[in-house]
Amino acid sequence: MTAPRAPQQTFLEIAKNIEKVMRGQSAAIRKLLAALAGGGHVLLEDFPGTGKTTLAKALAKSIGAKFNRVQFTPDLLPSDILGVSIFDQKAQAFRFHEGPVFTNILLADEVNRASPRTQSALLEAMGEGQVSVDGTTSRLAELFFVISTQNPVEFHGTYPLPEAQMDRFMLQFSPGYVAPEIEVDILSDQQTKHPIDGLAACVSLDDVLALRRNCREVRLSPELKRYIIDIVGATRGAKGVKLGASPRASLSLMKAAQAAALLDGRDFVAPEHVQEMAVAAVAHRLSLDPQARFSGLTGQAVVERIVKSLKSPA
Amino acid sequence: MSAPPFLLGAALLFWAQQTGLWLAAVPMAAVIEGSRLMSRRWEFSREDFNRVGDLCTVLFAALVVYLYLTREMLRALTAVLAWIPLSTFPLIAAQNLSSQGRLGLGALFWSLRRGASGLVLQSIDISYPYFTLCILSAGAANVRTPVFYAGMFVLCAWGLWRFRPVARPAWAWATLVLAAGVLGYAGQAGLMTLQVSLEKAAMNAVFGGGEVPMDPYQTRTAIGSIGAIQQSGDIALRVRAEGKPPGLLRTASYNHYANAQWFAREPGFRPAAPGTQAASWVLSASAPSRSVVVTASWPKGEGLLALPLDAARVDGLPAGALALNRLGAVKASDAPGALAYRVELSPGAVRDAPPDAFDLEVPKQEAAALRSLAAELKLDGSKTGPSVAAVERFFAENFRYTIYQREKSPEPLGDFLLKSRAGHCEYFATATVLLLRSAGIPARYAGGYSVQEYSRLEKAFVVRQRHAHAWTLAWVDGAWRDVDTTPLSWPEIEQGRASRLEPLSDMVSMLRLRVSLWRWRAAASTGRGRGPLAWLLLLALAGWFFWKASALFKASRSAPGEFAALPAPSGVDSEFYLIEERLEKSGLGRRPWEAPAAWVERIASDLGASRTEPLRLLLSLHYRYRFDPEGISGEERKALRTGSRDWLSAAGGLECRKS
Amino acid sequence: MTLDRLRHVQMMAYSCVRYWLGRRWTPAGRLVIGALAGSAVLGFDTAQSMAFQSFTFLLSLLLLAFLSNLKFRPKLAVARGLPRLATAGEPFPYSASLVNLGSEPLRGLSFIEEVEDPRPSYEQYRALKELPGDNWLERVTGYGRWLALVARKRIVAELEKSLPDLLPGQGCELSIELVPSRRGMLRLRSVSLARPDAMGLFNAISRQEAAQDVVVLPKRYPAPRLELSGNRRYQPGGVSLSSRVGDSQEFMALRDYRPGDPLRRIHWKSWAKTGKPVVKEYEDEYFVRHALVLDTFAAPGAEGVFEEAVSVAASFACSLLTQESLLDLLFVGDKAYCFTAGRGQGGPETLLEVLACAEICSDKPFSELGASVASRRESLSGCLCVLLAFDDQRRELVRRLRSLGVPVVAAVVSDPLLLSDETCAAEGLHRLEPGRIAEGLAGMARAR
Repeated sequence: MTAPRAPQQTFLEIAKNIEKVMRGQSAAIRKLLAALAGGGHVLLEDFPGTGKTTLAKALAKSIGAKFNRVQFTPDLLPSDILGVSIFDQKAQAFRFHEGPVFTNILLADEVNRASPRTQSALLEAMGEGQVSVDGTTSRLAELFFVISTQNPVEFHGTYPLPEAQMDRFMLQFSPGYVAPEIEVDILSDQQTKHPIDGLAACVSLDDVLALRRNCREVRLSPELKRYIIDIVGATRGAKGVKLGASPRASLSLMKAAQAAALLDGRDFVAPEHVQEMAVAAVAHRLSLDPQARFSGLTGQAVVERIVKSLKSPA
Repeated sequence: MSAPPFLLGAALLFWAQQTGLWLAAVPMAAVIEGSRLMSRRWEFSREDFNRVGDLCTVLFAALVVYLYLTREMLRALTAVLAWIPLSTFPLIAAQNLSSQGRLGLGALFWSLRRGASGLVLQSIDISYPYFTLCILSAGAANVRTPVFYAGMFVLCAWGLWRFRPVARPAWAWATLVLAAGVLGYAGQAGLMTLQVSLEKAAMNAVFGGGEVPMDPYQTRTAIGSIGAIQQSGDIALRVRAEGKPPGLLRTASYNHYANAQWFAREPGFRPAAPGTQAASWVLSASAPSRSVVVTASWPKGEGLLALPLDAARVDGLPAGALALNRLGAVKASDAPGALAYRVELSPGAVRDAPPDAFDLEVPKQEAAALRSLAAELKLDGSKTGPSVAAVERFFAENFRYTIYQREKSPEPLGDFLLKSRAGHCEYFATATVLLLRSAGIPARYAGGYSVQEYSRLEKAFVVRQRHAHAWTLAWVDGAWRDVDTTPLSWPEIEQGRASRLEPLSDMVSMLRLRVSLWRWRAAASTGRGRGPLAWLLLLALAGWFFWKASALFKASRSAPGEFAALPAPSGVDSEFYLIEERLEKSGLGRRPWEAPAAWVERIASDLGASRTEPLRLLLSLHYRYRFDPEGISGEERKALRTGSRDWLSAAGGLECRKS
Repeated sequence: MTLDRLRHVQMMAYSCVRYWLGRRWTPAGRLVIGALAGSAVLGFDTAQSMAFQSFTFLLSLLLLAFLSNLKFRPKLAVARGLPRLATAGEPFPYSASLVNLGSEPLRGLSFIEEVEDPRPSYEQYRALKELPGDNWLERVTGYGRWLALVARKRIVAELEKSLPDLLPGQGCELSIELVPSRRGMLRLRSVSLARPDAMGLFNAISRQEAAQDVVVLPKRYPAPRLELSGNRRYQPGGVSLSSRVGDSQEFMALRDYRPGDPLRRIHWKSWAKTGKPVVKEYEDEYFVRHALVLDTFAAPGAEGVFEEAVSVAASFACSLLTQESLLDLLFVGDKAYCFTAGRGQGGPETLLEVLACAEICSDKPFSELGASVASRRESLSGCLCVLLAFDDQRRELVRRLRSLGVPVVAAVVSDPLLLSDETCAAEGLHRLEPGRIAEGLAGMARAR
């Protein structure tokens, strides 16, 4: 077995690998890896065709993990995700047929297309780390990382995720469209074949688990803890916000900031890491006043405003 | 927009300097500027502001009443304008002493008191409007020296300085303001001359026909102006005398005739000597024998005294100044609007100057005719008395009186003497003067009033406008004498023009006179007796207001700040902060919400690579010092300290930009 | 006739002067103009008062300020980050980023958002008769009508903000907050920069085109949750009507397996029991579909009532859609419109955006609305009518719907003087008073 890599080394390798396939998305890749290292799940919200699936596949391939993809449709049943007990005629017994959720990296595509019943089945599995079907409980893999995607809600045929459930995602971000020059490079890359086909694993699963452990060990000064609490606390009284972020948000922000610091090779968190991850970790947990929502206010705007209004520790 | 410190105080002192109201201005300035020094403020609700507005209205009304009682109308108006800062003082005081620092609009406009919540602007800062008011009131004091312009310029420049956009250079501001000052000064001189020429043109346009009223300031009167005055039946004077009153009261005399107009050439006004008592004036040094009381009204506070020829002294005339001219006109200025003055008569009193060359001039146009007429009448310059008698007889026998009609003939005098032999008093007077002059007897043209009518209602002789009269002054036997050649029937003829309502208008006129006299007598004799009453009223009002409002005044409390106890941060003595301050001065400061690393990346291009690299290293040391719970090692601490100092000394090249 | 023309000309001139004073002159400049007017009045006679000297001085100040500040041509790139939607009466913040593209630093400037001209044309001015709320002065000068027309067109007042210093090439972010006063399409036309002169009295203006639009949604009140007692009606097409993919999922019954049935439909527990494959059958979709009917036939002069009715409809659109049902918005504009929302057809935003631009219908008969509603009665579980009055036509509509078996909740936005309590009780109506809508809606909730 090779010597355990330095955590930053792990990060850089994975990032470089993914960059071969996803150009011009370094910020998104950084956040994705931060969530992976922090032990949370990710929600990508973006228009169709911006490379969400490619991103998830590239990540899975880079770390040599099991990858499953579920396309959510309105008629999807919870059993289609979690699994079903099938009656084996020969054995005259019920056999649990595992659903796609039993994997390392799960890409739940267009999660807002499914009915709320199905959505909650997935979210419970994410939260609990285990699945109970017909009385039997099965644990999920140790590295269980869900990348959910959803279209922005103005498209028809969607059931938006309930805001209380959004809390289960550690980070939400949007890859977005890339700059035109980079889009040209994408065309050149995929002219003959898709680069993802040639992608190989560069780190092992154990490296990623070590990464997670190292992430928890990154140090955080009381001042920065206070800064995180201030940011999250400010969302509770912000204008236009019906329900602010919960303490789970502070935990997620802390973990994400630790991961970001680790990515930069530091062993302690600096203020810019907190600021970098604040929007991704907090914005999607805010429940906005419908009036404010119709006035164009977004959770992202609220968090950005809060960060700009608080004095940064320096 | 609040005024800069001491601007309002300075404006008030300037106002005091112009109007002389130091007693009012100094306390007002003290209150306004003093409120800046003290920190106590009162809570003013909307109702309180409305009450202050009402107080100002009350003050203003009281001021108007007071000034009307103690001054005549026009002066009262200008005085009101000059006193306005005093009556609006409560508003500015309330604003400065209130915790809001602004005045609710309901105090200024009644229509806005009814809870107009739709109005965007609910309160206003009246410092600058009050400042403007002070300056304009100072102008109303009409002190005609350059001090006003200079003071106004300095104060306005001071007031404008606050609005200067900081982005523009100060020299541009100074240049523009100075240029405006110069331009304004040139402009105001131009404006004055413009007004004078406009007035002259207007006068010429309106009065070009020659109907200029008898007026020694203009020093001319046209034939027909007295006739114009005679068309009215209003009472001009009232005369009371023991026994028979003097027949003629003269207001002015003239010595030069040209173009159907009489001019007073070289009148030479000199001030009359004040007498031993107050409001007493000496016109000529002679012992008075009897006296006559004349009641006159002068709306403008100045006018000509109607006096008999032998007036020696005038009593009971509280005028600012009395001026006397060589031709016997006496002008009073700064006088009450209505008064009764006593004239002491003394036979042989002479206030007119002896005759000179003007008094023998005869215009060329009429000279020949007059000389022949004089010869015909056998007038002899040496025998003045009989000559005058001859002239009187001539006119009495051959001429008759007609009411004044506008003549259009080119030679009115010639027509009068030779053709029509009928005219009104001005023709008679003019003809007499010229005739006497052509005989070598000095004569002057006199204008005034004739005392004819006794009114039982008023128990005095009333002199109406109808009784305006012109006659001659002839130099007979070394003294001036009234010579009146107008046919004696002329008052009856003029009476025929009286309107039927005359008794009624006489009654009204009498009442008005009584009111005026009472007002002015009270003011004159008791030395502003009404004044203290007005002041008392004012004080009472102010006292009531403050008593009512003091119950509502409360000192505003400032909310205590709540600060939760924060854990004491570590590493606050890092030298990196010095670098931050240095960069702040160069305009590259870190924004409060910016994380230091992001800030360094932002200013990297401005700093240049050579300075940014060491800065990044210092930043990571600083970070470890501040945010690493395990703390910083000794060498790293030293490296931070020395590195910062080195960086600072190397950063001397960074210019200090004002951001 | 000509009197109106005169009034219109006069109001246009007055608004031009006011605009010029407000835009071209700074507050300090306006103060100086006011002082100039005061000194002109007081210093009219140069012999009586010295105020004429301040007149000439102030006039020189203004002239020099004007002459020294004529040329101003900055180069600036402006980009606004506007939200797509806003709500009437609620402030919406956005940020504008400006970059100085010129070679001169820009210091001490003000940034002005210009909106389209809200002044009415002569035809519009003439068309509006007197308003009942005016006092005599407003009637004589025609000022009250002018104000009302301007308020109708103007959605937001212009906004001025001071810019920080911008060196060549530097950019900045301005955060701006606008408050729209009524619903509609907010068109931001252009952006102006104002530079005061060296004395701070007169502004030089440079204008730049930057057109962007924001939809301002109607003001909404908290609306009660209505229970329109309706049956679930058969909606042909089921959930696939609303979601376009897949079968519906209401489990109804079990039946024997037929070849061709998908494996996922097998009911394993039954197979275990019976030994034969058994398949779950899904029923066709039945759910609730409501209609929200908006009466757009307002009498002239009742624009305020119509605005309140739109707000009521918008409030209900939000509250009804939070329940699991479809909502059809029916109203008549230049034709009979029907917009559907709910259950995946789109959220309340679609209906609100439609309501933001709803206008009064003046050329169609009322019967078109009745026909539109009646044609849909088969699929409707309930109907909420927002009416502007209760005359015979409307009474007939409500009665017809009720007789067809459609439960109707009728809310009439009307003054109490026009619609008595007895009529409301007799006909089963809810009256909402303009100006006190929130209370009326709360009353509706209590009555249920």
